[in-house]
Amino acid sequence: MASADPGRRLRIWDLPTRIFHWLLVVLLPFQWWTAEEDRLDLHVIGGLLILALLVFRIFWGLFGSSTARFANFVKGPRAIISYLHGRSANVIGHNALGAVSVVALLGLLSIEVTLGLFAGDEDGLESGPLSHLIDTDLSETMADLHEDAFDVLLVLTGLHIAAILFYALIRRKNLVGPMVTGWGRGGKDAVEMERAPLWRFLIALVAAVAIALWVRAGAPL
Amino acid sequence: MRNNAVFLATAAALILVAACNRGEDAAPTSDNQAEAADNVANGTASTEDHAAIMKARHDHYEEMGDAMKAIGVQLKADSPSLPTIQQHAATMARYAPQVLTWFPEGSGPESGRETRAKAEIWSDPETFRQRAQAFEAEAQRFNATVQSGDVAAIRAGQKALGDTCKNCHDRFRAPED
Repeated sequence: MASADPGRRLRIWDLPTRIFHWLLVVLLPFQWWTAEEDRLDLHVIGGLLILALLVFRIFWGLFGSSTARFANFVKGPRAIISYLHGRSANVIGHNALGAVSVVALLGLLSIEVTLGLFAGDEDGLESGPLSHLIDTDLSETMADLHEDAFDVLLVLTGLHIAAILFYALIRRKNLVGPMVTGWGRGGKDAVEMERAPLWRFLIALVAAVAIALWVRAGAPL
Repeated sequence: MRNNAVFLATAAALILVAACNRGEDAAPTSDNQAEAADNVANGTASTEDHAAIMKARHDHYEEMGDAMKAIGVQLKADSPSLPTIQQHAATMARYAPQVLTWFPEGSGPESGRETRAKAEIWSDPETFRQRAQAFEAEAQRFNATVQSGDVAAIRAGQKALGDTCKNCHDRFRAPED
């Protein structure tokens, strides 16, 4: 289990990954609140911001810093089982099980945003920026699914927070600190995070903003 | 790219056709609904009459919802079709003055039939009347605005009209199951 040696201090999360995470933490309750309060104007803006975050995160998962890359942390069932048996390699960043949670959250969030973009209400009063591209009955179905999927998202978010509490209280490992500061501790053979160059960040940022603005405009071709 | 354009054009055409078909469904109320309304007015309404009233009311609201959606679709299009908008605005203006006649005593939840009409419609008739009249006024104003062809004004009018829908629904319509 937890060794007495806390390990040396090293960088785990780069700034873009941390900003992505904490913006989501702010935007998720914001989306909940705007939906409950019928502030659909703000809800659509929040949804487009989340869309931009997701596009950015997917780019960053392909070309970003080492700990943000899907290829580096998404593992098969064997790795997950061996992690559960405490035989995992000395890696920093997402562990094999945490990766499942990350992929599930990103995937569900992408579904949720997509449903919202095409959603429309029964009265024809409120609609997502892409709802005009599909039949209005289908839009209503999308709106219902958008609402249902949010409950699943809440469950996954709850699990995510429960896991953090589990690590904090049982494993005595602080996961929140590194997500705030970017710094954490790793064993002697832990590999340092490899930072992605600024130009890649800029490309991902421009792509994210461009796609969100394009969708906001109703995705004209 | 070209395939996408063709696909979207086809989809848009289908949506337009669907929207137009829906508009033509705006059939006049059937005889038995008219009879039911008469019976309600005379105080000789049967439960079947109430059922007919409630069914007609539901259908009319569905039609208005479809009209609002069709208008919304047009207002999101690159070049909104004014005739389509005008057609659906006319539907709104035609039904809006009728709303207060759609809720005779006994056609609420106490009928035992499935309805989202809340008991407050009958317990607070004054507020219900005010909101229905606000809706009617806005529907007539909107119907006039769409004749102008000023898309910005139509957009603002649609918002104002939608607000009067919502204002009444928030208080007098139960949430969906």
